[in-house]
Amino acid sequence: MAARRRSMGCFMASLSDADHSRTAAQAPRNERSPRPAPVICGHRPGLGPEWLGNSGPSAMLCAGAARYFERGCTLGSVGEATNRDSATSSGRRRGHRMIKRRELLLLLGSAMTAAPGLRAQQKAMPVIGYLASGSPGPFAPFAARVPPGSERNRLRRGTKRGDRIPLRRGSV
Amino acid sequence: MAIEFRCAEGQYDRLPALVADFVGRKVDVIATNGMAGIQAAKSATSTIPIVFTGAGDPVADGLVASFARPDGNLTGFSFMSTELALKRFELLSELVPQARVIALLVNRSYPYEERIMRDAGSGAGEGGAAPYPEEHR
Repeated sequence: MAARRRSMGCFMASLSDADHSRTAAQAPRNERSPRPAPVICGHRPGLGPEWLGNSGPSAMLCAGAARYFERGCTLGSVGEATNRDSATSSGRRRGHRMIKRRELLLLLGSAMTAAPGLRAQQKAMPVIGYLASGSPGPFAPFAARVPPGSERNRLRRGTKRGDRIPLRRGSV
Repeated sequence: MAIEFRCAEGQYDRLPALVADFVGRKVDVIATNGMAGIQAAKSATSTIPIVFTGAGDPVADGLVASFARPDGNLTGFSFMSTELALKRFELLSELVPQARVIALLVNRSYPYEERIMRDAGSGAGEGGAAPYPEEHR
């Protein structure tokens, strides 16, 4: 039993004395072969902070995402982990799940908080107002590159990098 | 970067409204050319940077303090086009010395029209020719 307890690691260590008296066959099916929590997003633990970098639009987003990635991106395996931990006390299991939920809520909340900041950054695109006293004739070839109406407004907001007017040498 | 174009199409009385539109939109820089546009932009804002070209003599006209240190929110460069009107007329008189009447196309609504006419007239008088102003609006 001791050898099995070692093989089961900290999982078996959390069982009560009554649970230790069970044989392997008596144990619930999901306890026989404990597997590591599946990684659903392909990120390895510890990759989060490096991937996100130390600077970004929202420190909250980085912090929440870093905590999320450091735990191995086990968001999708919450239910499985709960079944595996069915022998543990209900308080610990509930607390374990609550931490997962908190991380999820922190991540979603951080993303919502960061979104306006990202939009504000795009809005900071510089705008040059060109005032011509005469007719637009000399500037027509250049002005024609700016589409009229809503397209023009969208372009001014710069929703995508490709929306910007390419300024090449000799185009003016 | 985005560029907003506004053209007065020779109607200088439209310039204040066009500049006010720029100020309302909080553009980052106003670029303009010609004395009329520069004066309209200068009157409209003292905070938005104004970059100009072809302003005659911006120092003599009081647009900037000096060429080296323009100060304020205006900067740019000048072709000294207005001041060179006399020189252009002198060159024309040399090219066509037998000319006695030379047509001069001017825009009566241009703020520096009077100065151009005065300089051209003095240059024509030296060469024996008389400028014949042809108005254009």
